[in-house]
Amino acid sequence: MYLQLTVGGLLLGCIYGLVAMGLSLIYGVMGIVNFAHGAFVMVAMYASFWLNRFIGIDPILSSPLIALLMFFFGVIVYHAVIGKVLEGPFLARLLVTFGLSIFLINCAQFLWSPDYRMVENPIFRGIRMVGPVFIEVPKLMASIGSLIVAGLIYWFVRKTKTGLAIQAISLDRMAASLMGIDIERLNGYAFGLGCACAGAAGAFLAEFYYIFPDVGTMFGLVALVAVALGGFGSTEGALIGAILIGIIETVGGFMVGSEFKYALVFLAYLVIVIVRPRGLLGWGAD
Amino acid sequence: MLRKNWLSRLLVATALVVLALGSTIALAAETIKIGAVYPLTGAVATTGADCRTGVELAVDIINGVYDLDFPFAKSEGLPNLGGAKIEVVFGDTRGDPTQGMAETERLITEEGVVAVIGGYQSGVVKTASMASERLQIPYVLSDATSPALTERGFEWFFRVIPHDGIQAKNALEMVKDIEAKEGTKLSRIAILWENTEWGANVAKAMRDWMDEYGFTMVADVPYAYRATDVTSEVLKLKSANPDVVIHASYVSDAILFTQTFKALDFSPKMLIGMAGYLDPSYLSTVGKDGEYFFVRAVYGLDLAARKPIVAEINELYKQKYGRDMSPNAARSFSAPFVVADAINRAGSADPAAIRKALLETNMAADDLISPYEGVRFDPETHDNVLGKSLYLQIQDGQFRVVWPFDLAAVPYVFPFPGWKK
Amino acid sequence: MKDVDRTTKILLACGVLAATIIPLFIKARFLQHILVMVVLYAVLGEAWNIIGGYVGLVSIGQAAFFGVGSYVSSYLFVEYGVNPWIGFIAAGLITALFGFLVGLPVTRLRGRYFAIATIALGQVMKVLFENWERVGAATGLMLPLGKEGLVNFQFHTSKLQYYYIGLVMLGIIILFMRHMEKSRLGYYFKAIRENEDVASAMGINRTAYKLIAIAISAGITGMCGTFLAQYSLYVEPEYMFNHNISVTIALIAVFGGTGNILGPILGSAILLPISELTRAWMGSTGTGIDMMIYGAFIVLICVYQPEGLMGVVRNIQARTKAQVQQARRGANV
Repeated sequence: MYLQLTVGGLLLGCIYGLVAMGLSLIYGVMGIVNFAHGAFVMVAMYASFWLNRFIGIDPILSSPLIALLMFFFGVIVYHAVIGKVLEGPFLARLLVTFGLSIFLINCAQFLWSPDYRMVENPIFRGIRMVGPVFIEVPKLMASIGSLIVAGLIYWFVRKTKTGLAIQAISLDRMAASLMGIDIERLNGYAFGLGCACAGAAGAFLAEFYYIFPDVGTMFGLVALVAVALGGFGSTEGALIGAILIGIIETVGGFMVGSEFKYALVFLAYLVIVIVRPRGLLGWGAD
Repeated sequence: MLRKNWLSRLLVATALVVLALGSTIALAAETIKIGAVYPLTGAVATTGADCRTGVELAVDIINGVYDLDFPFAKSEGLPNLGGAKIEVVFGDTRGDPTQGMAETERLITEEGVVAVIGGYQSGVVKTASMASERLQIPYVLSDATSPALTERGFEWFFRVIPHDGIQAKNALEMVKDIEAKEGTKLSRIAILWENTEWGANVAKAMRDWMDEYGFTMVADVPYAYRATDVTSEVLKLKSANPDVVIHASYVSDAILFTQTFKALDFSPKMLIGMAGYLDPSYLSTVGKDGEYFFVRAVYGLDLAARKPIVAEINELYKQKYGRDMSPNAARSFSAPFVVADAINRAGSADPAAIRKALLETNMAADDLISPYEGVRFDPETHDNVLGKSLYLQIQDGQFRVVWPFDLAAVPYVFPFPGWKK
Repeated sequence: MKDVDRTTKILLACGVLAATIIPLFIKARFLQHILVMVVLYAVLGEAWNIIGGYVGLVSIGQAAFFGVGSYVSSYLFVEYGVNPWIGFIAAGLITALFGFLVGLPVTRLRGRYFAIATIALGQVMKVLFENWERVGAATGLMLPLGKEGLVNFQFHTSKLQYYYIGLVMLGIIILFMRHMEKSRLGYYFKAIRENEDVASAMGINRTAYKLIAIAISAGITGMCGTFLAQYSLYVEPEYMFNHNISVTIALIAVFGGTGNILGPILGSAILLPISELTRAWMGSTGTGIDMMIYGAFIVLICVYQPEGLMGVVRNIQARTKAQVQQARRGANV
């Protein structure tokens, strides 16, 4: 029983992790806490749904395409909105994404009605028995995808020129600018990349999860806590935080009572940041 | 300079909004307005929209001329008021009790409605009906089932649908009936409920009746309806090994639980669902996985076998909305008729007269598309004493009436055949 | 300089007069409702302002305090028949104590860690109340309809009484904050906001002052909770601990401008009517277009008016000041 719970938590955590990594990347580079991240996941889920409906591509197969589309979407959002508040006061930076989130969710309701939708006949479905444990294939695929994306981000940030430049910005914006790095452009890339993560997460989720305008909200909120738990600005931390949350949610929910499971998640955050005020692996400014 | 422009534009926009509001108010004339509040945006918006269609169709039938053997169908408008027409003004509660109260008040005082219907979520109905009680306007509820609503002793509040206490009793009666017919024992019951006002009340009612009928409750599992994953909840149920699971849920959680039941191969002998399972998007989302669930309802298309009118009205609904009438739409469908009937008998649109007429309501079973034996309000609680619920089972992608046995259209499938089918 | 001050004062006096007199002529209940919401959120915005604007701790979890306050008075009333006004005071005191206690660990956090901790706090409190049988769990508490009147804190025929009670609350909090701004407390708060470490080095006990701020803010927010409980006569966890309440409070402060007294009042006076009127106007279409406008509006504010409305006011003031000086210079020549 506990094995099943832990596996369930692990899979759930990987999915949260994919959402959380994008959030963390955006924060690390430009100090924006993106409350609209859940809404981005929702947009990506709808995109995969429509691609599936009209062209017939399976969401998991279309995930690179969705990620690419979301990258451009992110770059546009950055230049239209986010870039303009970066120099503004802390509160404006904190709340602009709240507005964005309300806008996107209701846009989806306006365009596509509040109905629930589900991708028909996905390629990956069903359940595999591994020993005594049931594993849902689409969740497993999503988790593997999540780890692949984590690897890609790791490689990108550490090995490519653009990635190194992005890292330089998050370490010291001023110095990076003096060294001739085009901050505005790279911020846009970083935001796009964060959205691409949300895009991949949305595509993976669309394989097995129902879609409606409010679907991303809870994922966004939990991912936010995961990022804060792992420490803002650290993508590895975000993944670890998310997995931890997934396990707390399932195992803790089972032991203490499922009605308390979200309280446990938030309580875990409070306890951890009180002991380590910058989360598990956090660094940088407040 | 730019900033100033921005401000002035804002002012103009606000002024426009106010003007537009004013002009809608000025339109009030001749027709009788009734208000309907539903969650039209937010997490349960899909159900709100569904309920709204039922109300719209009801009003079409009342106002227009239709060749149906149904109240107000053959005449245009309300005959006792010289053919006066009913106009429904909708309000959006956003699923929030404060907004629900504010919208109800706005409909009453700004739009001049003489009666209010709707609500859907029990928590919202609590404050919305409080507003109508304070303003002394009748509130006729046909779609929220928390027993607490009619325990308040309100003077202006009436409920057509049977409340959870009765519906819980019905659920256990059905289990008893099936037990007797199949000659097996189904004593281990688990209840699974979404933890807000409505679910908590269903659970309470279940606990109260469980002892009476000699069942053992083996698991009592509340959960947050916005949950993204319910593995722990389902494993908890699984470890309790119940014969029957009774699930009070909204739509998204109904979908999620169905998927997780399947994923974790949890198959008790009977699965009984409520509310969310009735939503059209439940069945279209889970598809085959919904098969053989029992679902509580106060409407089923199958009723047409005994009540031809059900099919005729469904035909009208289909013409207008392109799909079969859902049980939620059918629930909401009854309130406008109860109100119209009262206004017609009162012969006036005066709220106090309508209230008096409501107290004397005596509608026959034939005047309804629900399985109620009619509508008559208890003089104290104002609950419909003739209310009755049905149980449907999902078979071949359709909701079929299976209980009470005398209304059943098809035989039930028991036990639940499991997920490997 | 003096001229500007005088015009500001005259404008303020006019504002106060208008806020007191004009509502008397508003008979439409829906407009009265909007007025009540405006004063309620103005008070909530001011309470937020004490920690958010003056001390610089951004809270997005004020609903935790709001909910606790609403439950304190409602529980006392439903269980023991305690008069709501006593419950109102009790709500203030207990919520302040609660704020102090949760503040003990949380004030160590800075910036967004603090902001997210407050979100977490709000969610935890909601879940706890949803499962606390004693206070009705998810069903909440219904306050029985009583005789209307000031004594019972219940009014049925009109909402103006609620409005004036709210207005008095607002008046008191404004006087308090004016006093605070000029007191040592106010200076210490601002010092912590500007630079916590320097303030601490100057010998200000930052933890103690942060706790004082949180306790005051929580207490006032709790009293507002009682106010809404009496207004709707119903409390339920999903309703009183709603995350949207926390977000709206923070938005009002941003929109109006933080760190000064007038900001939240302006913010509330403009943002709430927009939200209510768009809903009344377009909400019934069920397309979400009203919320779309609201969301877009917030984004536009953050992008084009990040200092809040008070930023606009200050700009106008600066411009008039410059004009006045120019005019003087002209006169001298």
